[in-house]
Amino acid sequence: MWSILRNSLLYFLGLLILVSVVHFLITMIILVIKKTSGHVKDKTGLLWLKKEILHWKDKEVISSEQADNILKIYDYPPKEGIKRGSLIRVLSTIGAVLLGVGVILFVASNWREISAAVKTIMLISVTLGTLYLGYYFSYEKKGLVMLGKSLLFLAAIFWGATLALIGQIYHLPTSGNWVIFLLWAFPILPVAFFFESTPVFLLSSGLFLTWNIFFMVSQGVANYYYPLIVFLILLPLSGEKQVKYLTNIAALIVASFLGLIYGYDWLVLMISLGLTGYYFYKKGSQIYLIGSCLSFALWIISVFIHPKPPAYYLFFIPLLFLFYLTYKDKSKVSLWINIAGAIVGVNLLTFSFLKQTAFYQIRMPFLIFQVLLGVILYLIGMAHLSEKYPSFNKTFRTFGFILALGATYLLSFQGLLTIQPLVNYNAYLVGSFILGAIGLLILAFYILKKLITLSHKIYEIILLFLLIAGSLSVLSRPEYTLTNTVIMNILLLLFSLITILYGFEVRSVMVFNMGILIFVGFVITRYFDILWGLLDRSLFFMIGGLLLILSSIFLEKKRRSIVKEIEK
Amino acid sequence: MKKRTVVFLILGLWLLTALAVIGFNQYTVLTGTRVLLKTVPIDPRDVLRGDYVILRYEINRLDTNKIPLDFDNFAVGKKIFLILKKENIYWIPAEIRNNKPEGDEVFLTGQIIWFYNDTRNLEVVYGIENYFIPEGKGRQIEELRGQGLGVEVSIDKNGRGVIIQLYLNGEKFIIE
Repeated sequence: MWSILRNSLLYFLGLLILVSVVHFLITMIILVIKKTSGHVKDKTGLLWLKKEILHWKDKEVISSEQADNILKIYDYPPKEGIKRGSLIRVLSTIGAVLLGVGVILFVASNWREISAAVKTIMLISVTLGTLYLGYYFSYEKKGLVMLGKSLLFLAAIFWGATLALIGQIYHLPTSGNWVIFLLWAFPILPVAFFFESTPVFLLSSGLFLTWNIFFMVSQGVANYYYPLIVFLILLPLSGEKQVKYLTNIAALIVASFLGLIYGYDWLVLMISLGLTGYYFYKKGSQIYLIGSCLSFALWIISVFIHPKPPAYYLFFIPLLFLFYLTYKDKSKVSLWINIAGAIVGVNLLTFSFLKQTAFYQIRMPFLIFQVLLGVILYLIGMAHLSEKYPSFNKTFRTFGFILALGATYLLSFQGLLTIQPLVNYNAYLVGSFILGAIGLLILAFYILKKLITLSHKIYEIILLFLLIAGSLSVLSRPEYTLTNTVIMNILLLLFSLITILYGFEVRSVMVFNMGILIFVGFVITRYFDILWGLLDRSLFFMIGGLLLILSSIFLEKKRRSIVKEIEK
Repeated sequence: MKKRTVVFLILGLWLLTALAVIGFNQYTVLTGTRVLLKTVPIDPRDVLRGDYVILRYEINRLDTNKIPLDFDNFAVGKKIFLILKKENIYWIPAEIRNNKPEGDEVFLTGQIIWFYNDTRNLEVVYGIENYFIPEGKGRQIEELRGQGLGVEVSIDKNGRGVIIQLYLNGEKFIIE
């Protein structure tokens, strides 16, 4: 009897404290709202001035143009007035979050003075009360919509606290307890939808993602329900609100990434497919295509890391389809992702033929393969002759240029060209010769069709041809390390010279500077590479420093004069 | 639908959900068989995380050489049903089953989280491995694990367990 009395007393006391805390916060928020909307109060006499000026204009003392000019001097209407609304929203939402976190911590601290039943009743009534107040201020009482919205968000957090408390009373384990996230996320969705609350929607989306993570980690199986929930519930509810669908697409990418780590490649494929479906459903909204390409690239990686033959050899068919959509939509970002995905995919496919081979044993053929891959990408870029895809041309060529240059640079080190005997790298050998042959065919086609008439195009063709010929010759005689080093260094030097000439020809300062940069990089690298072992250290640095300063002065002078000439 | 109707529907939904979660657990507490399980010491590095103590029971590690069982597929993540029998005051493993027992046996549903190939021991969790405690009281309980600390668990007929309270050397243990 006594305990019931004591408990109910404590219940009322706790409720009183909570109500007064909420009341205090509400008062504070109202105060803040009133303060920040202060420009309505005529602090600086601006309203009076405006009235007078309009009066002068009406009496034709001044022209309307003059009136506008005068008002402009006084910065009327105040610019920051527009932003205040969102500031209040942000502040009150942060306030709601802090209050919610406080309540959760209060519950988590296991306050022992009150019994479990009383604590539960208290928290449930506070949660339901907050929800009702949120609705009341949002729709019934006019003028405090923002307060109402933040109370709705607060209610959504309290709901989680209520569930946490119940879980705690029954000592339900925290780790691997994915059910609680579902029980939290689902019931707050109607609040997000019917009361148009973006923060609650984002909270729910985040909780679903958390549930997905907990589910996968604790159950050790792929969670196919999560993409279904996103595709069938969350994305349709997002409507045209950017932050909502972006959050969920980002969450799907996170889920794909987890799928990649845990080896659930079907899940990743499902996400990619769903996003492609949405892309059609939304009649070509590019963000869905980008998301789809990204998760597809992740799928390519996951399917090779956790191989399940034989389907993965066919990855290029859907990839070609994504390329097709990218072209149809002229989506630059998805082109980047697709090219990167294709490069990774081709490499993983080639590498998958070499089972039980350590990567460092095949780095030379691997790098040669990258040079040729770069050449092919560059050639594809050159094929975009029509003006329809001007940026696509550039994207392909940039990828090709960077890939070929990076690999050539690495191959100019003798250490990377040495190859161990009896290592099986046939896949890269065959792959390189196939790529080389394709490259030569495309080159021959360009020349025969007389597509190359401009002189700068001839530079490109010469460099591409030399890259193919040089790398294939290195690959076919890997034992002549010294000759090969010379070949690769000549190629790197040519890379730099032709880039400089090309930049000069097409009047591009950037390309020209790039060529100079490659040249400087080449000289410094070789200086370190060759003379490091031969010279005394102090002498090495002194000579090096001196050479560097002198040549940089010379080069910079030349470069500037040429850049000036180009810019003319 | 009017917003006013919606808010009451949501209030109802939340209340029902909360009551369902409570009812689900209260069912286990009220209808279940009370058993006392023996705890074992735990790696001291695995200390207090936040506001609960990690409990480890004798039944978390099952020796398949000693306990009779009717299957040999020890996949991680697989569900098992552990039939318990009373010996003195504590309940100990009697049998491991692949399928849910149909008779009157008291059993816990667990999930395999590891299988030791060398010793043929199973590592199993039952969802009763956390005990929430008032802040700052964790150390006291942690030191008692394996020192006569028993846990009273209510097990319903689906093999779901909920912790009722702690025991020390057969006596109810109340945290000061």
